[in-house]
Parts: sequence; structure tokens; C-alpha cells
Amino acid sequence: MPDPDRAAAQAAVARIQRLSDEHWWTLHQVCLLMRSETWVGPAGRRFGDEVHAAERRLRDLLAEAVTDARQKLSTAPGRP
Amino acid sequence: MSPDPDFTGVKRPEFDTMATKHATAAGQLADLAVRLHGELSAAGLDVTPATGIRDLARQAETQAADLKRRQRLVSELDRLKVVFGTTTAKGTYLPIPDKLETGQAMLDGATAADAAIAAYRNNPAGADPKQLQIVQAYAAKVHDPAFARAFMSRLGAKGIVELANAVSLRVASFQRTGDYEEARQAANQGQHVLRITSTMLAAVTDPASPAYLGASFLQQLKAAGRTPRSDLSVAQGRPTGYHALADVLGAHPGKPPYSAEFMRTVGRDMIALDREVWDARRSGEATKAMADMRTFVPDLLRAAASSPAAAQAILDHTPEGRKGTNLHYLLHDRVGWWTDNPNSSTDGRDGRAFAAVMKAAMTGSDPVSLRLTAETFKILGADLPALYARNANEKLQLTDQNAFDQRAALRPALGSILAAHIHEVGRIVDGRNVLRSGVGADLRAQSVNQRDLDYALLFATSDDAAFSEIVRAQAEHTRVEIDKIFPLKDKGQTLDDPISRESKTFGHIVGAREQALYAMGRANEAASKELESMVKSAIGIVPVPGKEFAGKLAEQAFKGMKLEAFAKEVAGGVGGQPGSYAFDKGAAWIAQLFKSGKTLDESHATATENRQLISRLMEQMVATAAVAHGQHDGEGLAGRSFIDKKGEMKPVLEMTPSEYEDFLNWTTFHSGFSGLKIKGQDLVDSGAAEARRSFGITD
Repeated sequence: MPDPDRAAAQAAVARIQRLSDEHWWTLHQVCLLMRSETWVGPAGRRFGDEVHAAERRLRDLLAEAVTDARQKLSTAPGRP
Repeated sequence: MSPDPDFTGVKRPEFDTMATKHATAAGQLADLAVRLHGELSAAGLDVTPATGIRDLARQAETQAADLKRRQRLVSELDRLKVVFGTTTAKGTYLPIPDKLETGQAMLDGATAADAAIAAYRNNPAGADPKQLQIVQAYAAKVHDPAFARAFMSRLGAKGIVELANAVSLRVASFQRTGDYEEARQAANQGQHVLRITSTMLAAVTDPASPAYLGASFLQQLKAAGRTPRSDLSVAQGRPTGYHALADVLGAHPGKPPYSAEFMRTVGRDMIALDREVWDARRSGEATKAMADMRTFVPDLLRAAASSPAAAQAILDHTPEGRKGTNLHYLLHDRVGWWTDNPNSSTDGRDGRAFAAVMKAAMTGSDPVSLRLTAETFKILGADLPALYARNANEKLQLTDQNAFDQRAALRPALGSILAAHIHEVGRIVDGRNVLRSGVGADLRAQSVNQRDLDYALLFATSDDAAFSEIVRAQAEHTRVEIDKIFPLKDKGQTLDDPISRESKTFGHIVGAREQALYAMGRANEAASKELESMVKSAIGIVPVPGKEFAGKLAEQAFKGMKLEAFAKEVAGGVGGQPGSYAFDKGAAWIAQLFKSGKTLDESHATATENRQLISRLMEQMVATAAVAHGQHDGEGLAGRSFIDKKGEMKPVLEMTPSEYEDFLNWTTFHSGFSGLKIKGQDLVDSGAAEARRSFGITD
């Protein structure tokens, strides 16, 4: 029979994965607008660089959270 | 084509969309951070990813707030049409400055300009005071280039003229109805607005300023200036746009100066128009409007005086198709403008404005300054003799008081010009041809000769301050020339040249001054003490070392006589600033001598003639210079008042007047020049006699 702790952990992984999926594209539209040169000049360029770096960082952090959760699940007791 | 790398701007509506989206994203990230933190900590996992996202959310919030401010600014700049879309291959952009503050300054400039425009449009009878008040509220921003550019490009050249015209109409209407208090208040408010406008106009018409609006704006100003009043929106007012523009120029506070470029385009065109009117009036072809015209030239000159280059651009120019320069027009044809006497209707402001332009244009050492100086001396050399006549006592007499008064306000400037070119003055006395006007039939007509110079001196030295300035310059020149001849090899011969030359120049100056006093009816002064005291106060302190001289005196005067410490103190300076000690202290010391009211030297006090004073001055200069160069016997120092208890010389600048006098006396006897017979006195006399001959006076 399934281990209740394990089931809870699996659900947590799923929720974290969902959060990641939901927010994977949060900065994407702004990045796209900046890529099509909506705002040009030094300040615009700075903003474009920052928002692209933020998008990469966001995705790294989301991936990290998901990987951490999966790893915890795989090392958890009650493995089938 | 991609936008210029320096171009800054935004696409609309994409920028607005982006601002909104980013604000939303910031909120979503903040929410994500909280939820992820909850999940991770509940699952017993490391919460670092959640805190990282919280940081990203904060950054996005800051960015979103900045975007929102920019978006608001963009939409205002767009709405008020301060900026216009410009199309590139990447789309249509609104040019928006990179810095928020710059954009805000542009917006403020446009708002202030709209008030200025409303001020003359709202009320045909004169500027609307409420709108002017809005303009006044921006007074602190006038030095911001973005503000000035936005204000001026929006108001436009014609708007400047309309605004100034409306300001003057309002004042005039109160005056017509006898509301003098209202008129005064309107004039004060108007003057403030014109000053604001003038400050910005100077900036936006200067190619060296970041506010420069380009050559086309200067052309628009010319067009607006030449516009007759019938074409202006206001029904009444001055005859041309230039009359109104002159109010703006006349209100200029001096900084930033109007550029040479402004004077070359607008300024020269104003004088050209004035010369056209003058021609028409003289030939009887003037229209009623022309005949009524009060000239705008003095106001132009007030603005032109703010820099040498601007002043020269006006004076050093001959309009196309004409023979005479603008300098000749102003100093000869329109000399009546500068009248300053108690009965004249003007308060002397106009004369002072022209004097300031002359001084700015002609006291430099550049070729244009020298050329203008030469032309000034030639003009005065031609015009002044008619003002004077010789009387039965063989003295000069002023015969045309009116013509004298017309030029009287120019004397201080002429004094400064003569002082600035005192080297050339001496060369001309020496018979050299060193100042050429460049205008005139031949070299002879172009060259300043001794007679031209003597008349310039005669006229300038009738002003006490101008006389004093010239004498000081000549004394300083003498000191430098004497100092140059050391170290001496052949004492007798080498000294002769500079001393005779400088003495003769002194002679011309005091000879001219003497006749100037006679001519002005100050015969008593000319004959007696007044002249001496003028010379005394001007030159009595001259052997006093200047900055450089004090240093040299300290370094060399008493070499090897335990004076090293003193030498370092005076020459080396204090606080790492070489020489500043001597300079600052020197100024204070001289001021103190003046205050004490004593002459330095007993022989100064007893001298009854200028030539004696000058001769004594020469001796002291030679002796002091000799001592400064270490040429002295070093004897007879014990017990002297300028030597302290340790046997060391007191710092020159700390000596009292009597100690300094003692020092001068010592130098005379121990410099090795005590036996030297300086021929200065004869030469002063001969210089003065030469000047009198220039004036047609026999001895």
C-alpha cells in the first residue's frame, strides 16, 4: 500500500512543478518587446539586459526548486 | 536603417503595453515567491530558490515603477507635442531623452512656453500678468539646456518678439491712463520675464552651448526682427520686431554671454537696419515709421558687451556695400547717442553700454583688438582736434562742449584701452608704426601716429580715473622694462634706451593730462598740486615689488647675508601655493599704504613738478631692480630700520612705509647706481613738449 508520506511528497513535487510551469513565461512578453526594440538608448538597453538576465535567473531558480523536490522524492523511504 | 546609436526613444503603444505587463509580472513574481517559499519549507527543502525569486520580484517592482514614470512622461510629451514621432526601419519612435529629469525639464520648458504664448495671445492690449507669473515660476530652470531648448523652440523666434512687445504694451497702457504704480509693477514683472527669456536666448543661440538650437533659429530671429508691426499679432507696438527683441537683449543679465555667432548674424543685421534708417533720414526719404524709430542699438550693445568675441563681432564689421565699419558708424556717425551730461534726456546708460563694448573688444592682445584700437585712435585723431583751440596763453581750450559731452562716457573705456596697449603707446611715441587700422587709402592713413595718440591721451586723461589707470600701466611697463636689462654688463649704455623711451612716454601722458585740465577749465589744478597728487597716488607706490618682483628681491637681494629664511617665506609661498603669499600680502600692504595717506618718499612729498616725480620714480626703479639682481655693495645696513635685531632684512611686505622709504634710500646709495645720472627728467620734458606740439601749442 502506498506510503502516505511519499504520497504527500509526490503531491508537493507536482505543486512545485505547476508553480514553475505557471511562471516560466512571466517575463517573456516584456523580453520579447525589448527584443523588438520598444525602448532604445542606454537606459533602455540596461533595462533589456536586466530583464533578460532576470528571466534566465527565474528559470534557473524554478528548475532548481523542481529538481530539489524530485531528488528528495527519489531518496525518500518507502520506495516501491 | 537602425536608429542612430545615440538615439533614445520609445515605440508607442508598445512601450505602454510593456509598462503594464511588467507591473503585472512584478506582482506575479512576488506572489510566486511567497507560494514557493511555503511549498519548499513545508517539504523540508532548501528555500533559496524562493528567496531568489523574492529578490527578482523586488527588482521588477522597482523597474515597473520607473517604467510607469517614464510612461506618464512619454504620454505628456506626446500629448503636448513637445516631441514628434520619427520613422525608422524598426518602426516609429518618439524621441525621449534617456534621463527622466531631462524629459521633465522638456515638459516644464514647454509648459512655461505655453504660458508665455498665452500671455501675449490672451490680451491684445498687453501681456497677461497671470500667465507671466507662470513663466516667472520657472526662473530657476533657465540654465537647464533641456528646459531652454524646449522653451525657446516652442515659443519660437516670432514668439519672443510678440512676448516682448506685449510686455511693453502693458506698461505703456498703464502709463497712458496715469496708473503709474501699476505701470511700475508691470515693468518689474515684465523685466523679470525678459531677463529669463534673454538668459535662455543667449544659450540657445550659442553653438558652444548644449542648448544650441542651430543656425536656422538664428535665421528665424533675423526674419522676426525685420517683421514690421503690421504683421505682428498685436495691433500696436514698436516699428519692427528688432525693437521688441532689443528689449530682450537689453534685459540680459550678462551670463551666459551672447555668442559671437549671435552677434555675427542677428547683431550685425540689427546694425545694418539701423544704418539703412539713418541713411533714409539723412536723405529725407524716411517714412513716418522710420522717423519715429527710437534706436535699438544701445540695447544690442548691452548684450554685446558680455564677451570680447561678441563685442568684436559687432564692431569689426563692414556691412555689404558700405565703406565704413560698424565701429566708425557708432563712434563717428552716431556719436550723438552717447551724450552724457546733466541736461541730456538719457541717464548715460547708452554711453556706458558703448564704452563697455569698446572695452570688451579692444583690451585683448589679439589682432582684432589691436586693429579696432588703431581704428579708434584714427577716428578720434580725426574728430577730436576740432573740439579744442589754443588760447592766448598757449593753453588748450575746449571750444565744443557738446561734442565733448557726446564722447565723455567713453573716456574710462579709452583709458583701459590705452593702458592695455601701453607697450604700443610707447612704440608710437618712439616713432614706430605699430598700430594699423586696416581702413584708409594708404598706409599713412591707416597708421596711428603720435598726433592721433596724443589726442586720444588728451581726451582720455581728462577723466581722473582713466589718467590714473594709464599712469599705472606705464609705471608697470617701465618697471618690467628696467628689470629686463639686468644683469648688466655695461651700466651706462644699456640703461639709456629703456629709461629714455619710458620717460618720453611718461612725458606724453603728463603733457596731455596737463592740457586736458586746462581745456576743462581746471587751470588751477593743472598748474599746481592737483596734478602732482594724481601722479603721486598713481605711481608713488610703484617701486613696491609686484608678485614676481618681490620674489626676486627676496631671493637675490641679500644673498649670503642670513636672509635665506626670509627669501623662502616671500618667494616660496605658503601652503604649497608658490608666490601667493607675496601677491596677497602685497595687495593688502599697498592698500594700507594708501590708507595711511602718506607718500612713501620724502622727495615725492617735496617734488613740485611731475617730471621730478617721474625722475625720482625712475631712479628708485633702477635702484630697486639693481638690488633685486644682487647688484649692491651690502654696506651700511647696520642700524637701518628695515633690518631686524638679528641683522636680517624684514620681509618687504611687512615693512612700514617709513621702513620701506629707508630701504629705498639705502638702495639708491648702495646699488652701485648712486652716481648714475639718469636723463629721465629731460626726456619727460621733451615728451610733454611733443604732446603740446601735437595740439598746436608752442612753448
